[in-house]
Amino acid sequence: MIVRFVLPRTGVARFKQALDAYSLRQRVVAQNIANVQTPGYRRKEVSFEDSLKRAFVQRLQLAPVENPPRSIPIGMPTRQVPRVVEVKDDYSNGVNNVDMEKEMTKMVETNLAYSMMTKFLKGRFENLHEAITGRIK
Amino acid sequence: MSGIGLFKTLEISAAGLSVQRMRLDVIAENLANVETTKTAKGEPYRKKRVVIKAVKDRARPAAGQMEFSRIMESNTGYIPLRLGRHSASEIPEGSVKTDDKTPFTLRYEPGHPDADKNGFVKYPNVNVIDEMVDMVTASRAYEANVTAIQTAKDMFLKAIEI
Amino acid sequence: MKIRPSDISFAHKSYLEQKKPPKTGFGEMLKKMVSDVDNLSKTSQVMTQSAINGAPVEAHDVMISVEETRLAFDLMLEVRNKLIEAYRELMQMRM
Repeated sequence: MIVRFVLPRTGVARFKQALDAYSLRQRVVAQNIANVQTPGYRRKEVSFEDSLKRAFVQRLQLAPVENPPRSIPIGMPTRQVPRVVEVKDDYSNGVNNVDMEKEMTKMVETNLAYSMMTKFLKGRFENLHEAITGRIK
Repeated sequence: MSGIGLFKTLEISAAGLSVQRMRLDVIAENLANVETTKTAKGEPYRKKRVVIKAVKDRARPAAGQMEFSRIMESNTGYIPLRLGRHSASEIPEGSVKTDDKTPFTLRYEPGHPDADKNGFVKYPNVNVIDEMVDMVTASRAYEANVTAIQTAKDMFLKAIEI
Repeated sequence: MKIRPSDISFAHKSYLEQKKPPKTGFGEMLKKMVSDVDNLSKTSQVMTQSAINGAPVEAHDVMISVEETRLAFDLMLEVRNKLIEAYRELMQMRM
């Protein structure tokens, strides 16, 4: 009852997806950095926001439902899942296509984005808790 | 990226640190021996270098991660991560090799005890400029791995505040 | 019309059947809630334990699981309190 009807409507699913994507990105960037001098290594990236943007532009259906209810619940997860892709660039550092400056920038951005998400998620849980019990946390 | 979790990313960054550390050690040894005309083997010091290759991890996510994805999916309808074809981790590994191909540097020093009959002395095949440049890139790469570890730690600390 | 004994037992049977609580009552809902909370708490326990043991579980997954369990538990508690309150009001009315 709670699991089937209440939890999917909290909107937490979107936050979790973003957090998953950002931790995956941290891992991928860390791997690129670790392999900056590995001959033959091809840098990887996590494609996440782009597929989401493309979905909005092409008006792809974000939340496919089998039996469309009268109203779409808030927080229905989207179909745009994060993926790891390999990039075939030109060699930018003499050994492979890892650009250290770009990777470091991505690392900092990911850290900040993750912080922001966790802050929002914390706020969402506090709101939900207040709605249920009248207290915050 | 078989499995997510804090420890995998630390493992990857730790391997990066090891490799750069190895490079720095080899560079230090090369520079220390730049004038060594006679080693225990009787010939000049041969410069060493680090050969790096990427070790691929299993592509399948760890059993635990799949199980949790399934549980969370059935609990709340989350769509789990699709890791994709390139999700196997590639962890760098270094090994120290001696450079036998680059020839020794010859210097004309007839008075030197190790001079040959034409007055030339064989010096190690170490190029100081190259070694210094390598040292700078290895240091920078080392620091970058440290930053990656710091970021992983920061993100973990943020997560447990949820 | 003459009432036969079999008619009485038949009537009695359907009356007895009516007294059973229907499957969609508040009692059933509360039972489902309790089992949900139980499952959620087991999930978060397993997650926390394996995170401690070194399994590749993301930190945010563990925290989300724990928080959702708390929400579910509090929701169940509030529903139960409201039901008891409503029952008490009902009991007072009949006096």
